[in-house]
Amino acid sequence: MISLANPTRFLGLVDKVLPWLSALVVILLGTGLYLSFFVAPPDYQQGETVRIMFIHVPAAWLAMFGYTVIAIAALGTLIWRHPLADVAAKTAAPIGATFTFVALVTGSLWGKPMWGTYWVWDARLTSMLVLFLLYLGLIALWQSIDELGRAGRAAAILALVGAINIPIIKFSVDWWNTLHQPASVFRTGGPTIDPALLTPLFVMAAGFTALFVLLHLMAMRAEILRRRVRALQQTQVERAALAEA
Amino acid sequence: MLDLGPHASFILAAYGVTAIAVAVLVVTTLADDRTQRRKLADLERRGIRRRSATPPKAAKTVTPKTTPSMTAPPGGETIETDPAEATAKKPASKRKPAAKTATKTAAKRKTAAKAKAPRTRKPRS
Repeated sequence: MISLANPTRFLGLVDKVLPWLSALVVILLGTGLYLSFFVAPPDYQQGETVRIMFIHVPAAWLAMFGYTVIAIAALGTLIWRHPLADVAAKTAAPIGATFTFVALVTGSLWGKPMWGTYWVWDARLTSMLVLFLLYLGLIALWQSIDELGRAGRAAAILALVGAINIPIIKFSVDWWNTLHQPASVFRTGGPTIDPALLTPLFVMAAGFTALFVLLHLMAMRAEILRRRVRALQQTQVERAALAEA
Repeated sequence: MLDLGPHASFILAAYGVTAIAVAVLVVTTLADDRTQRRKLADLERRGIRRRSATPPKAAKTVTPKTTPSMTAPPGGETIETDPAEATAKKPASKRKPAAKTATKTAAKRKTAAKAKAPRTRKPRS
């Protein structure tokens, strides 16, 4: 694991893993979509709209997963000051923001026919919106500071402060009386969902997770290359200045 | 055709938004990756490369006469410019003559030897 903290070794590993991971994403999402549309039966209460859950729930899980990755990487930036930790955090933010956006939009599109409204200011929905805003804030912070070290440290502090929102999202349905239903998959008494609906949900969740990892690795590779290009361009400028002197 | 019932538009809209969002993410990530690779290749073609990068075959045969300039990029890796090209681009008037450098080195060696030599005290009379 420690050897992977070397950017060059990390890039070598990424080059080897990406083709296999891409194939896994295609297989999992293809199977998941087939199960979602052609195998899963309609729910006795939700009817056909249960199919929205097969993308809404994995997107919501990955929205929280993405922020957890950023928070762990923020610790790496602040404690060990390792540049790869900052790269991991920076590149996870746009992916996490996209999955949060997907979770919010698909939730709204499910809410209209089921609840009669696109949006309510209940604890779960509001805390997810706060998560989306946190992601946007982190992206803006990284974009607004030129010096990579300073930007990384500032973003790491914001990420760790914002990490308090993750348990709030998870337990909001237990702590407050919300319109959003309580946990029905990961709960102490086991899932309350029928296996016919649970299987496509898990396959889609695995596909979405593989997609997240794939995009994150690709984005990390691009970010490492961007930093190398930046360093080389600085060298070029220094050389030009030396030649003139 | 799959019958999605009276709420088909909501279901299709949800899948459509997800597909577009994921497609945008994939395309931008791929495009960024390619752009950075192209920029890096372009810089390396001009002789500006990282220390750990494999130098081109022509540069391998040239013995560097100057200390390569090194900078520590934010990525945490040490990089260096191509020493052969750095020497070649320096104007002749700015280069140090070889003989002068050799004399300086000899003088430095003499000073170092003097410093290393054990000090002897003069006996008191």
